[in-house]
Amino acid sequence: MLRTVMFTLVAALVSLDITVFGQFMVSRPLVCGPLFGYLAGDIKTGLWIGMIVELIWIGSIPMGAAIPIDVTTITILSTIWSIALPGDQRHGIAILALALALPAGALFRQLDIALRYFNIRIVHWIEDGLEQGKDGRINRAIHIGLLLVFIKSFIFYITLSYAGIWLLSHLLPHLSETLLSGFELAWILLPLVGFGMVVVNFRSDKFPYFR
Amino acid sequence: MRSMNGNKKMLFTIYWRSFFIQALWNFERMQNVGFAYGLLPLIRMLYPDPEKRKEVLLRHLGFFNVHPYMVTIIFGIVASMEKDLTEGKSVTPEEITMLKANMAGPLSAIGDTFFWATWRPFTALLGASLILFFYDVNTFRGTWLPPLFFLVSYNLIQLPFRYWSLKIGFQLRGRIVRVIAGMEFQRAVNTIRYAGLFVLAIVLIYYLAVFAPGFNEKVIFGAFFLLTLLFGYVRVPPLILFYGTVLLAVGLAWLGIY
Repeated sequence: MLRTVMFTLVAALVSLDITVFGQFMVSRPLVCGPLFGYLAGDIKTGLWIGMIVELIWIGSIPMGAAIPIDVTTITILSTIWSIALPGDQRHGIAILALALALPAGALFRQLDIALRYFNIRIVHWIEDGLEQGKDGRINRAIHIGLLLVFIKSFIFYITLSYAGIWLLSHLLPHLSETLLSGFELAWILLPLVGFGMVVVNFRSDKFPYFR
Repeated sequence: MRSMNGNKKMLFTIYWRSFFIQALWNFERMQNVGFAYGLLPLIRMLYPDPEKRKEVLLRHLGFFNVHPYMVTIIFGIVASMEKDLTEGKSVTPEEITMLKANMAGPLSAIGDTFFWATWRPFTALLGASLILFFYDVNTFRGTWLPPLFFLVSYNLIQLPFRYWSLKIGFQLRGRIVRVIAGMEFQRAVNTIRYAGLFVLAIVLIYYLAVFAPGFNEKVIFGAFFLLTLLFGYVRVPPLILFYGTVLLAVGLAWLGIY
């Protein structure tokens, strides 16, 4: 219980780095994977999951107003879930966790969009304040913005860490040996997909601005 | 001399505040609050009269959106222009608003291309290759090396760039366009791109040598890599590629091939 709360606090802090503070890349899969792997007690699983997610989604970037699927969520949840689950086929379990974490990443993105619509109200609140000469509202609004993302992430991660582990531990006994060995194969095939995405990302026709 | 130190302190304040540029990103005016937040200390200093200050702050709450790293250039230019405006030099508020709108597009294109699409993938690829090279070495204890290497090498470029571009924007203003053009981002992008492809070739060969046990596996893995390349080029989304690969692997296991 206390461990999960600690994971979630760290996850909520890290999630600030995605958009609202700094972009120092602490929230990238390559960093989050090993970080949460270390916290949960299996750094190697975290490293591999982080590498897979980082490379496969290497080309999805927040251009202009576009918001891509949240790779931070995918990495954090699949790492925590897969390490918490019992079983011998460790790599197969990790792929199962990943497959379930992708919808969670899409959900996180939807919540992010909802919050960015809610922020419009705060903008109007600032403007009303400025009309009355309260320019300190700008500072306070920034703090509110950070706090909202923190709270949103905290609730999201604590709910989904429990829900995911509950769901996966009920699902796992029903899965056949063959299915899990297929997942084990996916564990070593997925980095190849990542390599392919790196080549596609570095292709020459991708940079229209400089042409 | 005193005003020089004052400028430096102010620039550092703006630099720190520029990290929060997206803290209140909204679908109506995007980074407007972040921009006003960055300039607030300067505007409070320049306009002791609350009535005039209100006007300026409302002006900066208009639509604004730029790549989060490139915003410091605009902060630098706007800070210098706002200063001139209070000193009665030939600057109008409309010019400042225009400049914000006109520079955001081209600067975002540079930021997206260089930082998001080139420098981050490149440092991430180097970090990932460290994971692969050391994954099976049980005596090696440097599991922190890949993420640390990625963080340090990535931020080594962007953090100084953000401060430097703020300073140079403040000093040079409009002339900064020539500095940016002279930096030859395109050359850097091309070089890093080819370096990235070179590193990837080594990583791929190493992967096939170490992680594909027999000759048959090496051939299958190699063919699978080419297949993902093909799907990637026709822009199949990563999500589909992920589930497709898992399905394929399960199919192979079910058929007893693997």
